[in-house]
Amino acid sequence: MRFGRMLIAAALATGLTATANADPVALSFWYPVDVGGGLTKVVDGLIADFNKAHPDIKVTAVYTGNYDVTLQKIQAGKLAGALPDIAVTEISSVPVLAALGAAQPLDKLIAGSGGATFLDKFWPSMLLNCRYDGKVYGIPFQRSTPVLYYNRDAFSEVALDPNRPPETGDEMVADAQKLTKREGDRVTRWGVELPLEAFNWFYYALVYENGGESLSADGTHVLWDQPKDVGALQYWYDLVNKYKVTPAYTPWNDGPQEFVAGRAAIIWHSTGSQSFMRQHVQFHWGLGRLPKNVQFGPPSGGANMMLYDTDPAKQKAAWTLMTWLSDAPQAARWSAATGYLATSMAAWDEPEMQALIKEHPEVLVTKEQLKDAKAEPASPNYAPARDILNGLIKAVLANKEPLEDGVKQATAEANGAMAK
Amino acid sequence: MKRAVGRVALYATVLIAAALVAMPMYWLLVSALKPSTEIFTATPRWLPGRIEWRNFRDAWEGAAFGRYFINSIGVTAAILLLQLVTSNLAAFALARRRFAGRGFVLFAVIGALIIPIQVTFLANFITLQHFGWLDSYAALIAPFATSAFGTFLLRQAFLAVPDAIEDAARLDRCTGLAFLWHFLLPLSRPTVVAFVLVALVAHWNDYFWPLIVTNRDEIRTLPIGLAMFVSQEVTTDWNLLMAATLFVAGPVLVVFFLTQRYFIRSHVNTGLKR
Repeated sequence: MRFGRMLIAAALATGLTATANADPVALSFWYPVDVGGGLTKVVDGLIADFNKAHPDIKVTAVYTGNYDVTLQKIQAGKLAGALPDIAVTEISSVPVLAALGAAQPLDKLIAGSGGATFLDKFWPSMLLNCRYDGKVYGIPFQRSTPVLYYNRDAFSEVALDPNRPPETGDEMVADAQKLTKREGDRVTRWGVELPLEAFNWFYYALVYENGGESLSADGTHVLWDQPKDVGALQYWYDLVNKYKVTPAYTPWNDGPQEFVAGRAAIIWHSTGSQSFMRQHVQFHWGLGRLPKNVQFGPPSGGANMMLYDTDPAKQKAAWTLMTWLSDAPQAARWSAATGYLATSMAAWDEPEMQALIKEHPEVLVTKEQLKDAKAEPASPNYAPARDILNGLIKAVLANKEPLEDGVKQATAEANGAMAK
Repeated sequence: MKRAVGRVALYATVLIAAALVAMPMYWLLVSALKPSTEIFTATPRWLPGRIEWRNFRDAWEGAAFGRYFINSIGVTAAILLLQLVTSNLAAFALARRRFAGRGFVLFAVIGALIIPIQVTFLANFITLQHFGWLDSYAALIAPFATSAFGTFLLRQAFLAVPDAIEDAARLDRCTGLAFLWHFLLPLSRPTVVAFVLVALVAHWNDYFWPLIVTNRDEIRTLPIGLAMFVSQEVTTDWNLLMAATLFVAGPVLVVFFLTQRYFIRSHVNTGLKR
């Protein structure tokens, strides 16, 4: 009897919730983790909280591998008609997915949410990689810039001021020369390391600091053979081959390990690596801005959210999620958990961020740097150029190709590939 | 004396070769047991200073490994079973039967052998979408129901079985599929075992395809869980990645150890007395 009554109660309860949630709009949210395993849980937690607060929407978060595979999955999905509702992709994919007709422009939705006022809540530099063809496609989500990590104990050891990271390119050379330790011909500690990844971040950093650009404003051709760009690569070449304070090649993932193990006194790396450093570094360390030459110019990085729905009801629901995730409290929560930069300016005043700043005041360097951040080169056809540039950097630094000739050849090759 | 020297040289070579193979395995194991502070040291540490069993718990909780395990076993078993059936039958027909267009079929099989998945993945993806099979077990299994590699490999093995055996079998009224089952398969055992091992490793480790065609944790497989520990932009937690790798590679290693004896013994079976 009691069991029967329980059954009825249960049936009533389910009936009631079913009416309350009359057909919630189902949305898929694709995300590449790219910040180590535990963070899938942070994403799941955020999405669960969103679902709780919005009974009329049900979002499912789907892990989609790294940046490159996520992009491939969306491209395949476009051809087969199996797109997500929202996806997080690396910022240079904005023109790629917009030109493909997969990602949808957001201008109308933004206008409905306050237009310019809505966009003004983000750091202006973060919006640089969000537009294509005059329309907004991306909303900043897990954004980063490179930053300079330095070993303060090593600075003290060679009588450098441990509170003053190098500010200019020349200072960095001078510091790195003091910091490099050798046993005979063998280097036991590199002065500085600029790890290289597929997106060639530090090349752009050096070009921007030189006051140059690496891609034409219309995105049709690369400018690697321009004097400021050649000068940037020359600076990197000299670090490796003239001053011998940098190895010719440091794989991206090795950089932080080399720093942690004391085998590199300064490294450039993503702001997203801060949580790793906090966890593993056993000496005093600090953060500095990427040094300037004629100007500061850290390139932007990380990923944006983009919308793939064409149905207005789904668009509305998806937009609710995108705005919610970029609101200050959520942006702060994501930033504090990952080391990615809080995208909304107000997020830095949230309790999570204030607590983080109190414990790790060096994090303010990443905030200060944001006002100088520049766009990552991107265009619908940029992918082959990106790979050609990567090969060029490796070959030139390793002395396998002469700088001037290599640059000329690579520029011609990249422009040919992009014209196709 | 000379023989003794030869023996020492032989063992030394074998030991060095074994060390080369065992070294990454050993490093995998100790890294999985180290606390994260001991992963990065200026000189390599051969033994963990403190054993960190928590790595396994953290890694296990980092992704839905329990579910992935069941899925990996089920999907790999289904693929192997289907491939064994289709490849054996196709190889049997290609090796031991004459029919119109046999040369062309063989040519097509060899052609399929040299086409990498990156070329076919889009066509397969769109086909599956038309069938409505995306995001299901069928999407993980169906594209691999046949194997050009297996068909070709088994055909070569079946060709090597002398006609005299088939003639003898025919006298005992053992023909067609019965001949395949009772003679060709047992006589080609080393090839069959080799094929199973290669296919097992390939499909157990497959990452790209399952990630592309699935969107739900309930049907995803182990390598996807493993990939969650690898980072493209920031830094990887190597100790957790190594612990997770042990979950993923462990079962395959066990299968290798178990089948290795069988594998060697099957080499001893020769077919015909000459």
